[in-house]
Amino acid sequence: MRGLPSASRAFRYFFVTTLLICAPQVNAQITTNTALPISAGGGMLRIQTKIIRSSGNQADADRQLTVVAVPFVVVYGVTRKLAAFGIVPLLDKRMESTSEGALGKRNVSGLADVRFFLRYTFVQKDSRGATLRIAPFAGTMIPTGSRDVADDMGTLPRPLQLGTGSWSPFAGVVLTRQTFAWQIDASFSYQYNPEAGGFRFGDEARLDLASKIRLLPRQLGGGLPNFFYANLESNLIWRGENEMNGVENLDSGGVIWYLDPGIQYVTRRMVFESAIQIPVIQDLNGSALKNDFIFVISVRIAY
Amino acid sequence: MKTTIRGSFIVVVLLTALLIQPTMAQETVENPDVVLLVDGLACPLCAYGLEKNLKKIDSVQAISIELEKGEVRVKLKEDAKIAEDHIRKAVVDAGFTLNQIEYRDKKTQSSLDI
Repeated sequence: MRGLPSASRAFRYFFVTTLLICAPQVNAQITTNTALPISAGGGMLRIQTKIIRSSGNQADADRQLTVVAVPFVVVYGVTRKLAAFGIVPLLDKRMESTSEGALGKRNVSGLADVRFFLRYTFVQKDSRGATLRIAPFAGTMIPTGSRDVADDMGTLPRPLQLGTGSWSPFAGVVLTRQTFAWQIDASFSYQYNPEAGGFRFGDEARLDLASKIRLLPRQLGGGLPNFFYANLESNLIWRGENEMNGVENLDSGGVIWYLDPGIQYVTRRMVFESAIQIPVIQDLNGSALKNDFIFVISVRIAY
Repeated sequence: MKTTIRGSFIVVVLLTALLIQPTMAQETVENPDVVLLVDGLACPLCAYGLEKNLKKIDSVQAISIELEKGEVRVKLKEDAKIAEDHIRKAVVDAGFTLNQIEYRDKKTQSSLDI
Protein backbone atom coordinates (compact mmCIF):
# COMPACT_ATOMS: atom_id res chain seq x y z
CA MET A 1 0.00 0.00 0.00
CA ARG A 2 2.93 2.27 -0.46
CA GLY A 3 2.54 5.46 -2.33
CA LEU A 4 -1.01 6.09 -1.33
CA PRO A 5 -1.85 9.67 -0.49
CA SER A 6 -1.50 11.11 2.94
CA ALA A 7 -4.40 13.20 4.16
CA SER A 8 -2.66 16.49 3.44
CA ARG A 9 -1.43 15.46 0.01
CA ALA A 10 -4.82 14.22 -0.95
CA PHE A 11 -6.23 17.75 -0.50
CA ARG A 12 -5.25 18.37 -4.09
CA TYR A 13 -7.33 15.70 -5.66
CA PHE A 14 -10.54 17.35 -4.70
CA PHE A 15 -10.05 20.17 -7.15
CA VAL A 16 -10.42 18.03 -10.22
CA THR A 17 -13.02 15.70 -8.84
CA THR A 18 -15.95 16.62 -6.69
CA LEU A 19 -16.37 20.29 -7.50
CA LEU A 20 -16.08 19.77 -11.23
CA ILE A 21 -18.56 16.94 -11.12
CA CYS A 22 -21.08 18.82 -9.07
CA ALA A 23 -20.78 22.27 -10.59
CA PRO A 24 -24.16 23.97 -10.63
CA GLN A 25 -24.76 23.91 -14.35
CA VAL A 26 -27.75 22.12 -15.74
CA ASN A 27 -26.60 22.84 -19.18
CA ALA A 28 -28.63 23.69 -22.18
CA GLN A 29 -25.22 23.41 -23.63
CA ILE A 30 -23.14 20.51 -22.45
CA THR A 31 -21.01 21.95 -19.64
CA THR A 32 -22.52 25.41 -19.28
CA ASN A 33 -25.67 26.67 -17.65
CA THR A 34 -28.46 28.35 -19.60
CA ALA A 35 -31.25 30.86 -19.17
CA LEU A 36 -33.61 29.12 -21.60
CA PRO A 37 -37.19 28.66 -20.40
CA ILE A 38 -38.64 25.86 -18.32
CA SER A 39 -42.39 25.65 -18.77
CA ALA A 40 -44.45 26.27 -15.62
CA GLY A 41 -45.52 22.88 -14.30
CA GLY A 42 -43.13 21.08 -16.63
CA GLY A 43 -39.47 20.33 -16.53
CA MET A 44 -36.51 18.31 -17.57
CA LEU A 45 -34.65 15.19 -16.45
CA ARG A 46 -31.00 14.78 -17.27
CA ILE A 47 -28.94 11.66 -16.79
CA GLN A 48 -25.28 12.27 -17.32
CA THR A 49 -22.08 10.26 -17.08
CA LYS A 50 -18.69 11.88 -16.61
CA ILE A 51 -15.34 10.15 -16.65
CA ILE A 52 -12.61 12.23 -15.07
CA ARG A 53 -8.98 11.16 -15.29
CA SER A 54 -6.11 12.81 -13.45
CA SER A 55 -2.52 11.71 -13.07
CA GLY A 56 0.90 12.80 -11.93
CA ASN A 57 3.93 11.99 -9.89
CA GLN A 58 4.04 12.82 -6.21
CA ALA A 59 6.55 11.76 -3.61
CA ASP A 60 8.22 9.35 -6.08
CA ALA A 61 4.90 7.63 -6.79
CA ASP A 62 2.95 7.61 -10.05
CA ARG A 63 -0.66 8.29 -9.26
CA GLN A 64 -3.80 8.00 -11.29
CA LEU A 65 -7.22 9.06 -10.16
CA THR A 66 -10.29 7.99 -12.11
CA VAL A 67 -13.72 9.26 -11.17
CA VAL A 68 -16.92 8.03 -12.75
CA ALA A 69 -19.75 10.39 -11.91
CA VAL A 70 -23.43 9.96 -12.66
CA PRO A 71 -25.30 13.13 -11.77
CA PHE A 72 -29.10 12.90 -12.03
CA VAL A 73 -30.61 16.30 -12.66
CA VAL A 74 -34.24 17.23 -12.14
CA VAL A 75 -35.57 20.61 -13.23
CA TYR A 76 -39.07 21.88 -12.45
CA GLY A 77 -40.78 25.03 -13.66
CA VAL A 78 -42.34 26.59 -10.56
CA THR A 79 -43.65 29.56 -12.53
CA ARG A 80 -42.91 30.86 -16.03
CA LYS A 81 -39.90 32.73 -14.62
CA LEU A 82 -38.83 30.63 -11.64
CA ALA A 83 -37.28 27.18 -12.03
CA ALA A 84 -36.03 24.79 -9.35
CA PHE A 85 -33.04 22.51 -9.96
CA GLY A 86 -31.87 19.45 -8.06
CA ILE A 87 -28.69 17.51 -8.77
CA VAL A 88 -28.12 14.09 -7.20
CA PRO A 89 -24.61 12.80 -8.01
CA LEU A 90 -23.40 9.23 -7.65
CA LEU A 91 -19.62 8.86 -7.65
CA ASP A 92 -17.09 6.10 -8.02
CA LYS A 93 -13.56 7.28 -7.18
CA ARG A 94 -10.63 5.01 -7.79
CA MET A 95 -7.06 5.96 -7.04
CA GLU A 96 -4.08 3.86 -8.05
CA SER A 97 -0.54 4.54 -7.05
CA THR A 98 2.64 2.84 -8.14
CA SER A 99 5.88 3.23 -6.22
CA GLU A 100 8.97 1.04 -6.68
CA GLY A 101 6.85 -1.55 -8.44
CA ALA A 102 4.23 -1.78 -5.69
CA LEU A 103 0.65 -1.00 -6.64
CA GLY A 104 -1.77 0.55 -4.14
CA LYS A 105 -5.47 1.10 -4.66
CA ARG A 106 -8.16 2.98 -2.83
CA ASN A 107 -11.75 3.10 -3.93
CA VAL A 108 -14.96 4.75 -2.76
CA SER A 109 -18.44 4.78 -4.27
CA GLY A 110 -21.80 6.25 -3.32
CA LEU A 111 -23.97 9.30 -3.09
CA ALA A 112 -22.10 12.60 -3.09
CA ASP A 113 -23.40 16.01 -2.00
CA VAL A 114 -26.75 16.98 -3.49
CA ARG A 115 -27.26 20.43 -4.94
CA PHE A 116 -30.39 22.51 -5.01
CA PHE A 117 -30.90 25.92 -6.54
CA LEU A 118 -33.44 28.33 -7.96
CA ARG A 119 -33.16 30.37 -11.15
CA TYR A 120 -35.23 33.44 -11.92
CA THR A 121 -35.56 34.88 -15.43
CA PHE A 122 -34.89 38.56 -14.94
CA VAL A 123 -34.65 39.68 -18.58
CA GLN A 124 -36.57 38.16 -21.50
CA LYS A 125 -36.47 39.69 -25.00
CA ASP A 126 -38.21 37.51 -27.58
CA SER A 127 -38.50 37.96 -31.32
CA ARG A 128 -39.37 35.54 -34.11
CA GLY A 129 -36.91 32.65 -33.93
CA ALA A 130 -34.71 34.27 -31.30
CA THR A 131 -34.50 35.06 -27.62
CA LEU A 132 -32.25 36.89 -25.17
CA ARG A 133 -32.48 35.98 -21.51
CA ILE A 134 -30.61 36.83 -18.32
CA ALA A 135 -31.24 34.80 -15.18
CA PRO A 136 -29.58 34.97 -11.76
CA PHE A 137 -29.51 31.77 -9.72
CA ALA A 138 -28.69 30.82 -6.15
CA GLY A 139 -28.70 27.67 -4.08
CA THR A 140 -26.74 25.43 -1.79
CA MET A 141 -24.83 22.21 -1.71
CA ILE A 142 -26.38 19.83 0.83
CA PRO A 143 -23.98 17.55 2.75
CA THR A 144 -25.60 14.23 1.81
CA GLY A 145 -22.33 12.56 0.88
CA SER A 146 -20.51 10.51 3.49
CA ARG A 147 -17.30 11.97 4.92
CA ASP A 148 -16.19 9.05 7.07
CA VAL A 149 -15.75 6.21 4.56
CA ALA A 150 -12.97 3.83 5.57
CA ASP A 151 -11.17 0.94 3.92
CA ASP A 152 -8.65 -1.55 5.31
CA MET A 153 -6.10 1.27 5.48
CA GLY A 154 -8.34 3.36 7.68
CA THR A 155 -10.51 6.39 7.08
CA LEU A 156 -10.05 7.94 3.66
CA PRO A 157 -8.62 11.46 3.51
CA ARG A 158 -11.34 14.11 3.47
CA PRO A 159 -10.82 15.14 -0.17
CA LEU A 160 -11.32 11.56 -1.26
CA GLN A 161 -14.55 11.22 0.67
CA LEU A 162 -17.84 11.45 -1.18
CA GLY A 163 -19.11 14.50 0.66
CA THR A 164 -17.74 17.77 1.98
CA GLY A 165 -19.77 17.85 5.18
CA SER A 166 -20.76 21.47 4.68
CA TRP A 167 -23.75 23.41 3.46
CA SER A 168 -22.08 25.47 0.75
CA PRO A 169 -24.10 28.32 -0.74
CA PHE A 170 -23.49 29.49 -4.29
CA ALA A 171 -24.89 32.15 -6.60
CA GLY A 172 -24.39 33.36 -10.12
CA VAL A 173 -25.92 34.72 -13.26
CA VAL A 174 -26.35 33.32 -16.75
CA LEU A 175 -26.97 35.04 -20.06
CA THR A 176 -28.30 33.23 -23.13
CA ARG A 177 -28.78 34.40 -26.70
CA GLN A 178 -30.41 31.82 -28.94
CA THR A 179 -31.37 31.91 -32.61
CA PHE A 180 -32.27 29.19 -35.09
CA ALA A 181 -28.67 29.02 -36.31
CA TRP A 182 -26.61 29.48 -33.15
CA GLN A 183 -26.60 29.93 -29.40
CA ILE A 184 -24.25 31.47 -26.88
CA ASP A 185 -24.35 31.20 -23.11
CA ALA A 186 -22.21 32.95 -20.53
CA SER A 187 -22.38 32.05 -16.86
CA PHE A 188 -20.51 33.26 -13.79
CA SER A 189 -20.88 31.68 -10.38
CA TYR A 190 -19.24 31.75 -6.96
CA GLN A 191 -19.43 29.14 -4.23
CA TYR A 192 -18.55 29.74 -0.59
CA ASN A 193 -17.39 26.65 1.26
CA PRO A 194 -17.66 26.90 5.05
CA GLU A 195 -15.63 24.80 7.46
CA ALA A 196 -16.96 21.41 8.50
CA GLY A 197 -15.28 19.07 10.96
CA GLY A 198 -12.08 21.11 11.04
CA PHE A 199 -11.74 21.11 7.26
CA ARG A 200 -12.58 23.88 4.83
CA PHE A 201 -12.43 23.48 1.08
CA GLY A 202 -11.39 26.59 -0.82
CA ASP A 203 -14.10 28.77 -2.35
CA GLU A 204 -14.72 28.37 -6.05
CA ALA A 205 -15.43 30.82 -8.87
CA ARG A 206 -16.15 29.78 -12.42
CA LEU A 207 -16.73 31.51 -15.73
CA ASP A 208 -18.33 29.35 -18.41
CA LEU A 209 -18.74 30.44 -22.02
CA ALA A 210 -20.46 28.27 -24.57
CA SER A 211 -21.31 28.47 -28.23
CA LYS A 212 -22.97 26.16 -30.69
CA ILE A 213 -23.95 26.30 -34.32
CA ARG A 214 -26.59 24.27 -36.11
CA LEU A 215 -25.07 21.92 -38.65
CA LEU A 216 -28.26 20.09 -39.66
CA PRO A 217 -30.72 20.66 -41.12
CA ARG A 218 -29.06 23.26 -43.33
CA GLN A 219 -32.46 24.69 -44.28
CA LEU A 220 -35.17 24.58 -41.67
CA GLY A 221 -38.06 23.77 -43.98
CA GLY A 222 -41.47 23.04 -42.47
CA GLY A 223 -42.58 21.54 -39.21
CA LEU A 224 -40.39 20.97 -36.20
CA PRO A 225 -37.14 19.41 -37.43
CA ASN A 226 -34.53 17.88 -35.15
CA PHE A 227 -31.32 19.90 -34.82
CA PHE A 228 -27.74 18.65 -34.90
CA TYR A 229 -25.27 21.09 -33.34
CA ALA A 230 -21.51 21.44 -33.07
CA ASN A 231 -20.53 22.87 -29.70
CA LEU A 232 -17.45 24.61 -28.37
CA GLU A 233 -17.42 25.55 -24.72
CA SER A 234 -14.92 26.99 -22.26
CA ASN A 235 -14.72 26.63 -18.47
CA LEU A 236 -12.40 28.85 -16.43
CA ILE A 237 -12.35 27.64 -12.83
CA TRP A 238 -10.55 29.17 -9.87
CA ARG A 239 -10.39 27.59 -6.48
CA GLY A 240 -8.92 28.89 -3.24
CA GLU A 241 -6.66 26.97 -0.92
CA ASN A 242 -8.09 24.40 1.46
CA GLU A 243 -7.68 24.79 5.19
CA MET A 244 -7.33 22.23 7.94
CA ASN A 245 -7.81 23.51 11.47
CA GLY A 246 -7.34 27.04 10.16
CA VAL A 247 -4.04 26.31 8.39
CA GLU A 248 -3.93 26.83 4.61
CA ASN A 249 -2.72 23.98 2.46
CA LEU A 250 -0.35 25.47 -0.10
CA ASP A 251 -0.69 22.42 -2.34
CA SER A 252 -4.36 23.01 -2.98
CA GLY A 253 -6.43 25.25 -5.23
CA GLY A 254 -5.42 27.03 -8.40
CA VAL A 255 -6.81 27.72 -11.85
CA ILE A 256 -7.90 25.39 -14.66
CA TRP A 257 -9.12 26.41 -18.09
CA TYR A 258 -10.89 23.82 -20.22
CA LEU A 259 -11.90 23.88 -23.86
CA ASP A 260 -14.73 21.50 -24.67
CA PRO A 261 -15.58 20.43 -28.21
CA GLY A 262 -18.85 18.52 -28.39
CA ILE A 263 -21.94 17.58 -30.31
CA GLN A 264 -25.67 17.72 -29.57
CA TYR A 265 -28.71 16.17 -31.19
CA VAL A 266 -31.89 17.96 -30.17
CA THR A 267 -35.39 16.67 -30.77
CA ARG A 268 -38.66 18.13 -29.56
CA ARG A 269 -38.50 16.06 -26.39
CA MET A 270 -34.96 14.80 -25.94
CA VAL A 271 -31.33 15.84 -26.19
CA PHE A 272 -28.41 13.50 -26.78
CA GLU A 273 -24.97 15.00 -26.31
CA SER A 274 -21.32 14.37 -25.69
CA ALA A 275 -18.21 16.45 -25.13
CA ILE A 276 -14.64 16.15 -24.00
CA GLN A 277 -13.22 18.75 -21.64
CA ILE A 278 -9.57 19.31 -22.44
CA PRO A 279 -7.48 21.17 -19.86
CA VAL A 280 -5.63 23.87 -21.81
CA ILE A 281 -4.14 25.64 -18.80
CA GLN A 282 -3.61 24.16 -15.33
CA ASP A 283 -2.02 26.58 -12.92
CA LEU A 284 -2.46 24.57 -9.76
CA ASN A 285 -0.79 25.38 -6.46
CA GLY A 286 2.00 23.09 -5.26
CA SER A 287 2.30 19.64 -6.75
CA ALA A 288 -1.31 18.82 -7.40
CA LEU A 289 -2.29 16.07 -9.81
CA LYS A 290 -2.98 17.33 -13.33
CA ASN A 291 -6.28 16.62 -14.97
CA ASP A 292 -5.92 14.64 -18.20
CA PHE A 293 -9.46 14.97 -19.54
CA ILE A 294 -13.14 14.84 -18.68
CA PHE A 295 -15.48 12.91 -20.93
CA VAL A 296 -19.18 13.75 -20.76
CA ILE A 297 -22.14 11.93 -22.26
CA SER A 298 -25.76 12.59 -21.39
CA VAL A 299 -29.39 12.44 -22.33
CA ARG A 300 -32.12 14.92 -21.40
CA ILE A 301 -35.84 14.33 -21.45
CA ALA A 302 -38.50 16.99 -21.20
CA TYR A 303 -41.59 16.13 -19.16
CA MET B 1 -22.26 1.25 -6.41
CA LYS B 2 -20.56 0.20 -9.61
CA THR B 3 -23.72 -1.78 -10.25
CA THR B 4 -25.72 1.39 -9.73
CA ILE B 5 -23.57 3.29 -12.18
CA ARG B 6 -23.80 0.52 -14.75
CA GLY B 7 -27.52 0.42 -14.07
CA SER B 8 -27.80 4.10 -14.88
CA PHE B 9 -26.32 3.41 -18.32
CA ILE B 10 -29.00 0.81 -18.87
CA VAL B 11 -31.69 3.25 -17.73
CA VAL B 12 -30.42 5.80 -20.23
CA VAL B 13 -30.54 3.28 -23.06
CA LEU B 14 -34.02 2.02 -22.13
CA LEU B 15 -35.45 5.50 -21.74
CA THR B 16 -33.97 6.43 -25.07
CA ALA B 17 -35.50 3.39 -26.76
CA LEU B 18 -38.89 4.00 -25.17
CA LEU B 19 -39.04 7.69 -25.87
CA ILE B 20 -37.38 7.99 -29.22
CA GLN B 21 -40.46 6.98 -31.20
CA PRO B 22 -42.84 9.58 -29.69
CA THR B 23 -40.00 12.06 -29.98
CA MET B 24 -39.91 11.71 -33.72
CA ALA B 25 -43.66 11.83 -34.25
CA GLN B 26 -45.29 15.20 -34.66
CA GLU B 27 -48.84 15.56 -35.89
CA THR B 28 -49.54 18.01 -38.69
CA VAL B 29 -52.56 20.27 -38.59
CA GLU B 30 -53.54 21.08 -42.17
CA ASN B 31 -56.62 23.23 -41.58
CA PRO B 32 -56.16 25.00 -38.27
CA ASP B 33 -58.98 26.81 -36.52
CA VAL B 34 -56.55 29.12 -34.76
CA VAL B 35 -53.02 30.18 -35.73
CA LEU B 36 -50.63 31.71 -33.21
CA LEU B 37 -47.43 33.60 -33.89
CA VAL B 38 -45.08 32.96 -30.98
CA ASP B 39 -41.83 34.85 -30.36
CA GLY B 40 -38.81 33.27 -28.68
CA LEU B 41 -39.14 29.78 -30.16
CA ALA B 42 -35.71 28.91 -31.54
CA CYS B 43 -35.18 25.18 -31.09
CA PRO B 44 -37.28 22.01 -31.16
CA LEU B 45 -36.88 21.19 -27.46
CA CYS B 46 -38.20 24.62 -26.43
CA ALA B 47 -41.42 23.89 -28.30
CA TYR B 48 -42.31 20.91 -26.13
CA GLY B 49 -43.50 22.93 -23.13
CA LEU B 50 -45.63 25.10 -25.36
CA GLU B 51 -47.18 22.10 -27.10
CA LYS B 52 -47.90 20.46 -23.74
CA ASN B 53 -49.54 23.57 -22.28
CA LEU B 54 -51.78 24.11 -25.30
CA LYS B 55 -52.88 20.48 -25.30
CA LYS B 56 -54.05 20.88 -21.70
CA ILE B 57 -56.83 23.18 -22.93
CA ASP B 58 -59.97 21.03 -23.17
CA SER B 59 -61.16 22.35 -26.51
CA VAL B 60 -57.83 21.67 -28.28
CA GLN B 61 -57.77 18.54 -30.42
CA ALA B 62 -54.34 18.84 -32.03
CA ILE B 63 -51.53 21.29 -32.58
CA SER B 64 -48.51 21.48 -34.85
CA ILE B 65 -45.61 23.89 -34.92
CA GLU B 66 -43.91 25.52 -37.87
CA LEU B 67 -40.66 26.44 -36.16
CA GLU B 68 -39.20 28.67 -38.87
CA LYS B 69 -42.33 30.84 -38.98
CA GLY B 70 -42.85 30.80 -35.21
CA GLU B 71 -46.31 29.55 -36.08
CA VAL B 72 -48.47 27.29 -33.93
CA ARG B 73 -51.48 25.72 -35.66
CA VAL B 74 -54.32 24.74 -33.40
CA LYS B 75 -57.15 22.38 -34.35
CA LEU B 76 -60.15 22.45 -32.04
CA LYS B 77 -62.56 19.69 -31.23
CA GLU B 78 -65.78 19.74 -33.21
CA ASP B 79 -68.00 22.73 -32.35
CA ALA B 80 -65.52 23.80 -29.68
CA LYS B 81 -64.51 27.38 -28.91
CA ILE B 82 -61.39 28.73 -27.27
CA ALA B 83 -60.71 31.86 -25.24
CA GLU B 84 -57.83 34.16 -26.12
CA ASP B 85 -56.88 34.51 -22.47
CA HIS B 86 -56.36 30.78 -22.15
CA ILE B 87 -54.19 30.66 -25.24
CA ARG B 88 -52.15 33.59 -24.00
CA LYS B 89 -51.67 31.97 -20.58
CA ALA B 90 -50.53 28.69 -22.14
CA VAL B 91 -47.93 30.49 -24.25
CA VAL B 92 -46.68 32.76 -21.47
CA ASP B 93 -46.50 29.90 -18.94
CA ALA B 94 -44.32 28.02 -21.39
CA GLY B 95 -41.89 30.94 -21.27
CA PHE B 96 -42.63 32.58 -24.63
CA THR B 97 -44.23 35.73 -25.98
CA LEU B 98 -47.52 35.62 -27.89
CA ASN B 99 -47.20 37.97 -30.85
CA GLN B 100 -50.52 37.35 -32.61
CA ILE B 101 -53.67 35.21 -32.55
CA GLU B 102 -55.59 34.62 -35.73
CA TYR B 103 -58.97 32.88 -35.56
CA ARG B 104 -59.37 31.30 -38.99
CA ASP B 105 -62.91 30.35 -38.10
CA LYS B 106 -64.49 33.20 -36.13
CA LYS B 107 -67.06 30.85 -34.68
CA THR B 108 -64.32 29.29 -32.57
CA GLN B 109 -63.58 32.55 -30.74
CA SER B 110 -65.03 32.84 -27.28
CA SER B 111 -64.45 34.38 -23.90
CA LEU B 112 -64.68 30.84 -22.49
CA ASP B 113 -63.47 27.46 -23.63
CA ILE B 114 -66.44 25.39 -24.64
